[in-house]
Amino acid sequence: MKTNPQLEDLKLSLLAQIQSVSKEKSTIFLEEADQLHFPNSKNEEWKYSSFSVSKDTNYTLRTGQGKAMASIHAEAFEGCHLLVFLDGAFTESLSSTEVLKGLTIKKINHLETFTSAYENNIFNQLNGSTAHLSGLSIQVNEKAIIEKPIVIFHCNSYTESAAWVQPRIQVQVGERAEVTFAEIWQSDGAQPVVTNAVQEIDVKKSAIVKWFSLEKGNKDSSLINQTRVETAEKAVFQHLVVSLGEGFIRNNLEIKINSTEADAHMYGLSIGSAKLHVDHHTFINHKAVNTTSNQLYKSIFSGKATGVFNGKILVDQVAQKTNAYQSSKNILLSTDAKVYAKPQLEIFADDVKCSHGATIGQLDEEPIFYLRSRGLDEATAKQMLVQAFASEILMKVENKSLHALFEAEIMAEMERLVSK
Amino acid sequence: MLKIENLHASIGEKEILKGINLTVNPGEVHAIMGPNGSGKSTLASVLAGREDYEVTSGSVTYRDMDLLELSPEERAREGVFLAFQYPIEIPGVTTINFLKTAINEIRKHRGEEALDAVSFLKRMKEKSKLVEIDQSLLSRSLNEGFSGGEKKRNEIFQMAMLEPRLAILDETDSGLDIDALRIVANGVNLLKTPNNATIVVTHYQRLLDYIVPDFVHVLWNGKIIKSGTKELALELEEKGYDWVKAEAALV
Ligand SMILES: Nc1ncnc2c1ncn2[C@@H]1O[C@H](COP(=O)(O)OP(=O)(O)O)[C@@H](O)[C@H]1O
Repeated sequence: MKTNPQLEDLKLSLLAQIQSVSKEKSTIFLEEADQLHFPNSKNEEWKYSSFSVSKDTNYTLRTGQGKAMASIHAEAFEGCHLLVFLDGAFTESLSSTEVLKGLTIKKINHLETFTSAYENNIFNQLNGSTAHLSGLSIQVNEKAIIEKPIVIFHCNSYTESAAWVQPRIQVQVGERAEVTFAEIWQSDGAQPVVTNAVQEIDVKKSAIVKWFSLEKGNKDSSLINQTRVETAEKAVFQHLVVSLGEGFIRNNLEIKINSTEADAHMYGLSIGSAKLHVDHHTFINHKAVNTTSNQLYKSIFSGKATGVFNGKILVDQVAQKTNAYQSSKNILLSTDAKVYAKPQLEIFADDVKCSHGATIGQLDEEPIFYLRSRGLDEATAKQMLVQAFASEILMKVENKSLHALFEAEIMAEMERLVSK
Repeated sequence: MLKIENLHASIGEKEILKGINLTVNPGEVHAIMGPNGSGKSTLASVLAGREDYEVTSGSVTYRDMDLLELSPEERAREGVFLAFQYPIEIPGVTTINFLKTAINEIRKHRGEEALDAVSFLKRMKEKSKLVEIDQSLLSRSLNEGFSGGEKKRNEIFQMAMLEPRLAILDETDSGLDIDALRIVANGVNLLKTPNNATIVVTHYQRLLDYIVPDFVHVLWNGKIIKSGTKELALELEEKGYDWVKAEAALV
């Protein structure tokens, strides 16, 4: 494979840096990473999303040790527990772990990783190679009901050069436990940052897990998330991601529904008025009878924002009575904004209800006329319709504290959208 | 209040209105009848400002203003209201939500103060009773999951809330059973004052049993070919439209 020389240099530099901080612990990952390359657009999975880094920039691998920042406004997360990843590593001193009853939190020392559909993937191997330095393992006890959401706040303090960070989170939620997580990604834009993150979530029998993610990029930030989930019998897993701002965002979300009567819900809302690139690759594997998955990904783009939605549903032969729904709805407010949507269905069972659809277009004229005919001016009518479009996703953020947080960010982004 | 003179309008290459003349005074109710495809909805849409139609000649004067120069929202703020033939669904926008904005836009335009929440709710309660619409519908997404009758009642409810000077009801009766028809008509009648006027566009005479028009006009092939009083509606009901068409052909 032909590779971009700049990315090849970056790879060598990262491998050397990892080697020097991590010693023999990461040998396997490093050896594998050495055989791989950063993807280019010839790679089918990266056709519309070219990963690139800032020119003539050295990326320094950070695995924590950042200086505590004044800019963590804990009050923004009122009503939540707070876990902080500073410069890519879990930082206990900034986190509020003492009040977390029903959970065990520790650093990852031994990495047992889920198999991935994107196995052969350099990001994965790179992240794995520093998991023992920066990772966090969370165990939610059986039957524990964690009332307050657990916010996982990712921030960066390193300003000497561009940074490369690799947070990793492993979560196991015990039988009949209920818990909500919210990852908040923030990059202040002082220096370019690439965040190469992995989340692995193991949802046991009858557990209910909600996982939210608020991704706010800037023009020099790249965020690559690989989220792998496995769910057991009667488990309910909900994933909801809101992507705003600028920069490059790639989310690989893989869910394996391993056992019967389990549900998975996936939602996305992307809003961008400038150079935002958001790529959602979802992969849902139904592996047992009587399971349901439901995907709704929406975007509102103006300026040069671009969205990619690639949703793959695999229904194994044994997975009879599967319900799998997938929908991608996109509003483009400018001629330079683009969306590529592609469903991929592989269905090997015969008793399956499956639907997929994608819409891409401007705001409909009819509702605009309707509202204008009642006295609203055009801009107000459009704003109301765009808000209504977004509200279908925002509505799913039921927790009050999180709802307020997400709503404020979405509204602010929306204002930038219509003021352009 | 409204004076339409020699109005011609097309969509694309196709001319649909071919010289409409109509004068409406305050306090009057006009019925516009005619066979399907004669241009009734087009007339209603042109008056409300739908941009799909191009007015090729003629004029519309509304309260000494050139109506055709006004945007749809300016018309609404000046008191023109269209009850849609096919009220659309708008997911995520509730009736209450946009009506509050609409009322205050209209009030601002008239130099009045914004309606406070309490007065708004009071007015809502009162008007929803008038058209017998369940208040819970009003805080749901507009028309989503509403029955045909509920959609039409919601249109009349909005009319009651906005208190227009000129209301245009586009086939508000279509698809309504007799109870819903009576409720809708009753709402319209209760809203009638000496200062406002109503244009009722309808295909059937049965609505006119409830909303008694001062004048009835027959629209055919883009022109008003006959005008009369409420007796004309009864005659049309009995004899159909052919005799009017024949009469018009002779002229
Ligand atoms: N959007 C449109 N494009 C093309 N023709 C149209 C359109 N809207 C209406 N027409 C045509 O204009 C004529 C008048 O339609 P309309 O005003 O709906 O009549 P009515 O309300 O009396 O049934 C019909 O022949 C109809 O087919």
